[in-house]
Amino acid sequence: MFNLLKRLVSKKNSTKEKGELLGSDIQRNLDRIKEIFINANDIVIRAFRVGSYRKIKASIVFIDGLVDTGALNEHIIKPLVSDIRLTQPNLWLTNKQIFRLAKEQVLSVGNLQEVESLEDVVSRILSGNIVLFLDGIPTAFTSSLQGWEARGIEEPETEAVVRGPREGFTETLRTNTAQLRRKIKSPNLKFEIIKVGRETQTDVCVTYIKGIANDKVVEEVRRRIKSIDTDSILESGYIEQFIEDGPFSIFPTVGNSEKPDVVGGKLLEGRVGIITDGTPFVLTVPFLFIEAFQVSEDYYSRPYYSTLVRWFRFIAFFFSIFSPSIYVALTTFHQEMIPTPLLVTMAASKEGTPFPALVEAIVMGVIFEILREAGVRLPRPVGQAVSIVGAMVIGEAAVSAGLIGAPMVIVIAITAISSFVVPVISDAGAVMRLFLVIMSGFLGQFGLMLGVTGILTHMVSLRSFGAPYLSPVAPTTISDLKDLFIRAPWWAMTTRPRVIGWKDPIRQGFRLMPEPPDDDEND
Amino acid sequence: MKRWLALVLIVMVTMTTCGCWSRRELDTLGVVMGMGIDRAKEDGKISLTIQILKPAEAKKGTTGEGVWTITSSGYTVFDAFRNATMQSERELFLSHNKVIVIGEELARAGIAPLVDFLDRAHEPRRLSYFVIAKGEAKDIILAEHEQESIPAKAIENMIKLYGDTSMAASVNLHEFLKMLASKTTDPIASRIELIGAEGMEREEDSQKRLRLTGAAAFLSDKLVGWLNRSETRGFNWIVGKVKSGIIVVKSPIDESQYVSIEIIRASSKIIPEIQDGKVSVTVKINQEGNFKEQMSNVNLTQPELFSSLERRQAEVIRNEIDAVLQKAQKEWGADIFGFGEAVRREFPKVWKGLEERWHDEFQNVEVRVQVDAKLRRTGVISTPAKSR
Repeated sequence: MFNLLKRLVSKKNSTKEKGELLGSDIQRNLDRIKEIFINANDIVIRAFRVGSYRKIKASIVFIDGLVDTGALNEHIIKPLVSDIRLTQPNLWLTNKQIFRLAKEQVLSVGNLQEVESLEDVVSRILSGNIVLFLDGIPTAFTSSLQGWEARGIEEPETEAVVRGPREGFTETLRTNTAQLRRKIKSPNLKFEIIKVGRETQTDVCVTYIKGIANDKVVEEVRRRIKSIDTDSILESGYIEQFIEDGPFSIFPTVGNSEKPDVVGGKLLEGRVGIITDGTPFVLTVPFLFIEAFQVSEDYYSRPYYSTLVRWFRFIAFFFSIFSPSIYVALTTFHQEMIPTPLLVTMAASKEGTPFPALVEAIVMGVIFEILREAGVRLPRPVGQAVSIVGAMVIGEAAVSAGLIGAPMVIVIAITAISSFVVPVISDAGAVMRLFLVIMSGFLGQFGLMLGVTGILTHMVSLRSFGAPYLSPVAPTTISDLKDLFIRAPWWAMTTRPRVIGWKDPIRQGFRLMPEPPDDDEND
Repeated sequence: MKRWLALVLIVMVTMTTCGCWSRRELDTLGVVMGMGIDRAKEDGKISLTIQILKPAEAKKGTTGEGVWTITSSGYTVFDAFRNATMQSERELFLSHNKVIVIGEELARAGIAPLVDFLDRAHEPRRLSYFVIAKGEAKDIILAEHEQESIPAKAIENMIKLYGDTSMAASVNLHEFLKMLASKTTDPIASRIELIGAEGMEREEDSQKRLRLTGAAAFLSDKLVGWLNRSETRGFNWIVGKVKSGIIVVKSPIDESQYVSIEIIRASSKIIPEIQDGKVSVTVKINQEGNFKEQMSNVNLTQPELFSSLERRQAEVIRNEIDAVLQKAQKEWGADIFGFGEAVRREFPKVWKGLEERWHDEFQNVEVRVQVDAKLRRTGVISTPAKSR
């Protein structure tokens, strides 16, 4: 069934006409373009003539709104229409001569390329380039004079920092690559464009640092991206789902970030970035579980506090996953594990509440998720109102009405707050939480352990572009413990993560710890 | 496909072979806080008195209202326990039981049959304190406590505080069962009584109250007699369970006045010896005390007086130990100190011949007591306020 479908799709691909070349006759070329762009009213074909004595037909084709018209007038049309006559006033020029003249002396743009196939022409036009046809020449000029309304560089809301750069990626691919290039001024930083999406023709840019990134991983990324055969790529999430290792896993095996410093840091560790035109979210692979706990600010703050905060993140993650299930397991199966005074308090608040603890946990969990979703989607002022209502209803009314026990509200509140601490895997966390709460609701701690074992087994077997998902914990890499449960000072982070940057493992010199000069020298 | 099958099998096996459990909500549980076992009026039956938690009231903390009490009877402990559920609307839950009180009469008849259920069932916690009531256990369980809304908890706290005087035995179910299981060591348990305070003005203040009054000694599984408070401390000295407490001695200068010395550190060592087939035991006590109070008006903080106080201190300790040895060893022949265990550990080969006749041997064992008592600090003043 699937094979048949596959065959059909591949057949369709191979029949796609390829490589129709441009002709010498400008009218024919323009007719072909008009034919292709029929009913697309944003296409502009501006015809004029070039030359002084013998005027040659010329046409510029571009899409209105994607092109910086000021630059187009100033640097393409004006030179061709008038300047060429001033520089070469009395010459009887052939088409070829005009072509050369235009290329070498007239067109004052930095980025000028020649294209020969019709397909290229069309894709250039669609990308916002201008294409210039000259009569009698089977080659067209193209120049990227893209200029469209775009969002400026802002601080991303999802990854706000106290200390660290506040710039974020934008929706424009070029701006993004430029931001990365400004961070890493090395010729080894490569950007490779692959066009993906039959209809959208989205530019997808694979970026890596040659010499640091593993060539096989780069090749694998290229292969996976090239094998995507879809009509559209509107966001990097599309690509993520087409290239990830565990398509059925609840864990992300592809990382993303909105910040050039984060992506830059990952590239320097040997990862490969995937920038998608039209979204500020840049993907990075391989993605390890531990990356969810490593925040860019860890590396900018001093190590003690970073380590402490990282531990808080671990604890918060533990809370967010386990607290409802542990609560349910303890109160419904293992009452003997609760200290007696706590049992008294918990039993007192359970007194007279109508639902089993499991139902309470699930209902509260669902209500919380709904409130969160409502708060995110609604316009900000309304969102606040929603959270106030939610807090009032859940926190106060449900308890005083005797619908829900107060400890459960506290447990859910802890869970909710904790789940925001590690946002990268908070969606996986929500699934795990529900799964575990049901397991422990039916089987107690035994079920909880069963669930945890299942999840751990899955995580251990998971890989992201060849890197074991749980490394450097499993398999353990001693040298990588420096950036796992602690964040070692920078002078001690001598090597790159082993499973990712093994190609060139040494990041910096040894013995970089700052210290005062020897006393002898002072004397 | 095979993998999925394996997965399904694994899940099924783990679900069906994990023992028993059941899902119980907190509000369906009658949490038992304390239980008392007595001989029932009917022949051959035992009666069980159970203190059950009332969570909402217990949380409010109103005195004596945190629990309610039911009694039931049956041929066995478990029988009586299940019969009790006919009075309770909730399933009784034993894991938070704080104290097990056994009536004197039943204890004298033999305790082994009673503890089997507590040993065998998975719910009862082995950390519950094991207490013998002088009188009926029912009265102890029914007694209220002024401050603690859960009386069983009050008993637990009292036993936990035993170290302030070291004049009560602190034995939990686990320790008791261990002693019971030992071939030579005889068990000991806490002793509790209801004692009325005399001469109180208000009537409610002179009502009978719970009080720890020493220890109950067993021979094998039968209660043989009671240890009073100072004898109990003698016992605690030997087994090294003295935590703190006050030693009252006469002042070396003024014999009519007392000095109190606070025990701050104490340890003991039981050293068995065998000479010519005769077993003897040396009990070494190391104790340190702080000079905490004197009633006489003299300055006692001088080195020579200190050593005199130390001697008197050691004398008190020795007397306490002698008293308990006299009772347990000579009168009852109950090896509550674990001397037999000490001999076994030290002379495992000789022990094989000794084990069977240990209880006869025990009464003839010579026990030497060596007390090393030290006095350390004098408190924040050296001379009394009134020094004329």
